[in-house]
Amino acid sequence: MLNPAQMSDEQLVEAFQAGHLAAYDELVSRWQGKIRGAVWRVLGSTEDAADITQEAFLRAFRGLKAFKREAKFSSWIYQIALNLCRDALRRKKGKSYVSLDEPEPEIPTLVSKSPSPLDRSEGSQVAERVRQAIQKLSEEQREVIILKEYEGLTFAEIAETLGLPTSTVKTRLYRGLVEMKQHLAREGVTSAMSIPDSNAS
Amino acid sequence: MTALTCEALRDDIISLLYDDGELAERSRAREHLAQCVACRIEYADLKGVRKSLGTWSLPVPAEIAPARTTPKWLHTGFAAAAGLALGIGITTAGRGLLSPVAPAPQTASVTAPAGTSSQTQYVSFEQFQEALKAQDARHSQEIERLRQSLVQNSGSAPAGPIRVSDGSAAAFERMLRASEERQTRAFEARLVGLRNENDLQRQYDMAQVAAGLAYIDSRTGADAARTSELMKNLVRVTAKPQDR
Repeated sequence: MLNPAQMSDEQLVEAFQAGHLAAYDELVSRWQGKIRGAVWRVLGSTEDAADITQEAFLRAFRGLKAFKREAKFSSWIYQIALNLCRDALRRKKGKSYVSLDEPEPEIPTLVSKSPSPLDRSEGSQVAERVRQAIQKLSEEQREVIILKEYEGLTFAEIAETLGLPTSTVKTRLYRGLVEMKQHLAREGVTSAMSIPDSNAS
Repeated sequence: MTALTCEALRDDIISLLYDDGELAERSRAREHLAQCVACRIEYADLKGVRKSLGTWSLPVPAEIAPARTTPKWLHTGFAAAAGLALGIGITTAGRGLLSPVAPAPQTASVTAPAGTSSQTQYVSFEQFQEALKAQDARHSQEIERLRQSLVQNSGSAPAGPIRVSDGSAAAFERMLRASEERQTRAFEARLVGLRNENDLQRQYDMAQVAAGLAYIDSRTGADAARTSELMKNLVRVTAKPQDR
């Protein structure tokens, strides 16, 4: 077997299926950070994120022998992790990770300049509001926004992960962003972006 | 621009917003935005939302020190080398004061005569040696003057070569100790990091072993059931007719 670090995901899956268990270690080290991040954002809880990430890789380990290499490993592992997130959220339905009754500090407006310590503090308040707003989105919208905004997946990859047509992914993304805008506006967070001129880029 | 057109081009606008998807979609969106003010405003709003989304970063995980890329002896070696260099420096700097015969200087510079350009001048080896000797002599004279002024100030001449003061030795000792403490702290931090790493790895390995064991258990159970079934059949087939 080649050096695992130099192999593509597809090659690693192939190697694992051929009996090279070490290939799985490389897949885990390559993807666990990303998966943990996505899970954390979907659930809003770091402890659960660690457990679910571990469980996702355990399930992947069990199922990888039978994994058909038509799909990408990354899409598949995201899919497993998101399914586990959905289960966890269903179990915890009614329990909110976020207190909606928190006192509301003054929320600044985002402005584009180099961040001073004050800006950083204000930025963290905005980040908290963003986190809360994301938790208020529907599961479907939240997943799409997280996969696109934070995981950097393409529309096609998200479609593959969620088993949806690309157009549905875009529609969910659009609706999610519009809802986010409304939630953030209610919280007093507005991002000053100039309106593009007629030659929009 | 009709609302229907705007609705129909929404996917294209999303493609443009994320710079993803087909080129034709993004071109259509650009053309539409050029004509539709309402969509331009919404596009700017969505960009603003994306900017706000960018402020939410993941919490920093418990820091695990990066793997050591240089062996420990190298760090210790550096500290020792630094100490040695410092020691040599102190000794060398002091020798001019200690010994009546000035040592050869570690470095020398050729100063340009007054009125000449300050640019670097290239001189022959002999000229360089002479310049060194002249500088050496100048330094010796200065040192001698300083020694005499010290003797006059203290009122008695020193009996022999002056030793590096206890104060300097103590300072050197302190520096060495501080360096050792820093090394120890760094080593301990690394140990903690390694321990965390090991714990995580152990948990993961245990989970894998448990999964493997569960699989083996299920296989063993199925095999045992099948064997038992076979044995029963065997017994039934081989039993005497009156026993059946």
